[in-house]
Amino acid sequence: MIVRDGSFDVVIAPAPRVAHWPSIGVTTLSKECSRVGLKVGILGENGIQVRGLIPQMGTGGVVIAQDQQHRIHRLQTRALVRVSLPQEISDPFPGSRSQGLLPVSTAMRVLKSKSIRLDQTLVILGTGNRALRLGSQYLEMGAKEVVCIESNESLWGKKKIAGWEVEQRRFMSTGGKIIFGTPLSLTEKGGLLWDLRVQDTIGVRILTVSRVISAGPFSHELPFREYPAGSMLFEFTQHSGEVRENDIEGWDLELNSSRFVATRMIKSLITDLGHDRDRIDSIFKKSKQKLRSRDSHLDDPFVVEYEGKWIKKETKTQIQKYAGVPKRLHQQGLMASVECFEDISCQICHERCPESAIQIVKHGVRLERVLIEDKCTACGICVKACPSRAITLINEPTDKTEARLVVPVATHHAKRLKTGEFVTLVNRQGDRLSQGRMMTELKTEVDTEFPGVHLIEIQTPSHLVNETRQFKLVPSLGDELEVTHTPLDQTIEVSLDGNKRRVRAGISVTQALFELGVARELDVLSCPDGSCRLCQINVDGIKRLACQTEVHSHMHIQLKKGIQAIESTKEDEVCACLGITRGEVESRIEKGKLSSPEQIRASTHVGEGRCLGQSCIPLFNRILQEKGVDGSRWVDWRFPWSEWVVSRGISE
Amino acid sequence: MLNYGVVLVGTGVAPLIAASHFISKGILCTILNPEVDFFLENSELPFRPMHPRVSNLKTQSQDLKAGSLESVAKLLQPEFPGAIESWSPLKSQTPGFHDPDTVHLRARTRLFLKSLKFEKEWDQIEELYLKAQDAGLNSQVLEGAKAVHRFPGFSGAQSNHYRAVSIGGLYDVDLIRYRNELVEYVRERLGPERILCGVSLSEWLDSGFRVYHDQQMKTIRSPEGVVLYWTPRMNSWIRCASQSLPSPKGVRLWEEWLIQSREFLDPSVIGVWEDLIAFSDYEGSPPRDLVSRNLLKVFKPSTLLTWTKSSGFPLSLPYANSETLSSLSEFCEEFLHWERFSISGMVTRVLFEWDDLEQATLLGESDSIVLVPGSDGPLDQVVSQSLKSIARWS
Repeated sequence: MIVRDGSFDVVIAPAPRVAHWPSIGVTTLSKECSRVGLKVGILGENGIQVRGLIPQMGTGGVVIAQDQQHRIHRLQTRALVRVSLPQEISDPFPGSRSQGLLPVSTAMRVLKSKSIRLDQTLVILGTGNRALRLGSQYLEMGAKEVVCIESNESLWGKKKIAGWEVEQRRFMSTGGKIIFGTPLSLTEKGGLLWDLRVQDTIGVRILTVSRVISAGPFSHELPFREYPAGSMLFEFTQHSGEVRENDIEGWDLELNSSRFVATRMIKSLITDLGHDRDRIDSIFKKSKQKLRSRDSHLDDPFVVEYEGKWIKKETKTQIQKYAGVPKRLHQQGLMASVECFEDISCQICHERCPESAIQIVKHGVRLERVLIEDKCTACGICVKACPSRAITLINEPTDKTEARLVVPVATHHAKRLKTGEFVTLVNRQGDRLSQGRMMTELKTEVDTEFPGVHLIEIQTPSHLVNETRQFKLVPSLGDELEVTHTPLDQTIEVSLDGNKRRVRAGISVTQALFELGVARELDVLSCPDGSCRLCQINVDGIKRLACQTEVHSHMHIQLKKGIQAIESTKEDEVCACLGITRGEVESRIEKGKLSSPEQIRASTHVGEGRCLGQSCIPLFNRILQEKGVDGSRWVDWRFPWSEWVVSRGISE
Repeated sequence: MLNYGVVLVGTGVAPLIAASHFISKGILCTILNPEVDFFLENSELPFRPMHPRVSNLKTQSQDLKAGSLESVAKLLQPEFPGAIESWSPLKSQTPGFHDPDTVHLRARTRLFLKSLKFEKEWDQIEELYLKAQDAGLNSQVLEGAKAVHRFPGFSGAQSNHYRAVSIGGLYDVDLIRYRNELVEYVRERLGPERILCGVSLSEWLDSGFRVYHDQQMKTIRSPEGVVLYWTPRMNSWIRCASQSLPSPKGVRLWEEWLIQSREFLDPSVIGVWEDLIAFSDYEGSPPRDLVSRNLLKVFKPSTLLTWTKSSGFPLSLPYANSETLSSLSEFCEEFLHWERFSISGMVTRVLFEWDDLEQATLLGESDSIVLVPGSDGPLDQVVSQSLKSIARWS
């Protein structure tokens, strides 16, 4: 066994299942630390897999990693940042551990696969931006129905949902629904269908769903934690995606968190910063201020109030007074209406407007988008660029009964439109209002940059132009959702536990299991690189990782005995590997008046099963907080981070 | 102002045992813990290692005397607020109710295994066998298959190359449960204002300190005395207390590895092979279902490292390094004959070692500050030292 020693000032390592690497937070952290002369190591690239960290007394620890040649690297570090996924496992309920419920990171990887049926209802647990945006994407792909369920509305104050108003508007105007209720059970019906029972204020409703996706957020999660205090061991949550526009909130949160953590580490590791001191202090203060304002949209939410289908007068006045909404020039021609009312971190419209017609101005303690009407040319770039589809172009002539409205529409719907066709006008919460007419598609300079978004001009009655924000096609005969079946010549035959099945060619074994509806309990935690090591499967007589193995013709797949696609046998299992229930954990805390996360974990044994805490520790942490145990800053620094198999002188 | 009574400062079981004793005697006390909880330092061992590398002939005699199940039960039971069950492979359980979830004291056989190739090292183990006999413990010399097939997890065929000494009746204990129940009991009796965790020392005063706790400064006056339980994490407190400190022989790092076993693990044996101590990890009495949680716990001690009052600890502690990983690999592959093994966990402990554990040392002119070395290490030693330290108040 070859072991190589090394040392760094700062090591940045990905936890299992982290997909996008290195993210903006990682590169920013690394850059800031290197700039002041700290030796930084970013692990996780070039085939180096991190096995875990062993904290040492005082500060820092030893990181164990291995490379593709199976050499082990033992790296002494003064500070460590472990980058983990956000919490995406919902509170347990009967059936929540089955393959019917996917964490959002897994769902996004199988987004366009056949394992999620779009001709049935799709349910998303959670109402954060990620959940709402995913729901909107599915609707724009043509999903029949998408429902977001919020179980913890009291956490989000007056707003009741966790996400931005603009994302909620996009979701609902494209046909999404939000339910406030608690999932009770998920039972398999067969044919990639499940029955989800939900308890809401009215009673129990049963939804037949194609999948349930757990997106969250399920609590107020800190973007980073240091544990123990002063140890220089940080856990940092990866909120960003690959592209900033896909999740601006997450991107900016991660960027500011990384700056804050970097400056914290720099101040601790370097005693004399010299001429860098002022710069570091400035970054520290700015990032701290930005992190504090991340929940501004919850503290000062914009809630649209309706009387039936119609916006209440007070809300209408509020909208019309907003600085981003045009006041006069929209009567003469098309003008952008920037309806982004909350103090959120997104400033893409301001960044993309070629005429600088949209400014970000401080109004009291909040930032507002201000439209400079004289500069706006209605080019439509801001409409296309806005990731939340919050901007429209409006022309409301005073002397006519018809107004013009240009809205962003996804390709799936746009390609079915014909000029002159009647469409159903829809308001901000998806209610049908009246009929309008499709006029034309507006072309812009950035059409190739945003191929999935089309600007469609519709004619609306004047009195509805400020109510309408989307439209639906009028359904016609034969207008069924296209359910495409994979042609036979694109499928191959495999043997699954002795039975012959056909699956799509070129996909991984994990994806094949999902599409066949036989995925196992831990397959739902699929990771992009095999780092979690939970999907081991017997393929052609050899143990392999299902997510890293591509199917081939006549492959023999054997599901491991005893581990099947089963529903949870206990109603409220926290640790499915060892069958430890929520009730057991709560009872242990109450009876012993336990107050330390380490103590509770040691005495309940949560996280000591096969998954080594990957599926249960986030939920365990939430339970601690609900029971009043301060686990908000606790990090489970167990070693290894995922199963480490060593065989005959070689470690895997 | 709160009367703090006797102030007990420490991070593990030692201050808890003292507090439990004071509670039973109706003596006021307060615990200050520099760590966030009593589980983080984890400075106790669940048994007496009796490892050839760690112990010499003298300490081995002490270990044998102090490490029997009967003597440990007599020591632990009176000061423990709950029941302690005993388990021994040689004795059947007495009739009546037995709580499977409480702390268990187990009498496992210690099996010192040696290859026939190493004659010199065998002499030391034979010496141990004789001492065990003198101590009245059930000990045997075993050879060949009888020796090696008892070793937890051994799956090899060739077994003629080994011999072993087995010594029965030596204790090991459910450390987590023990600590847990003690914390619960003491916390319930003392209340939150008398157990302060996450305390940082700001200044030593006459009969007391100024500390930083829960984001505020507090003055803790203790005219009735202060007891400092000396473990590695207490260094900053101890060093501030006095310049004339006793010196430990050194500091030793213990690596505790948890390995998933695909072979049967004899639950009644703790095996010692080369520089490793290995045994089946479970709580309570041996589980009936030996398949589901077949975990092999492996302890590996480092060499003794230097500790000085000025420098404290060596800058880099030798754990999870090439020596350890090679040792584990050799143990699992060459000795146990496993094709592969999975590592499920690893924690480290840093423990002081002393030439001869002295009686509690008094510091300062007023005799009001008591320093207690030996507050880390085998649980029976920790409990014994803790009780000795508070003898004058009892």
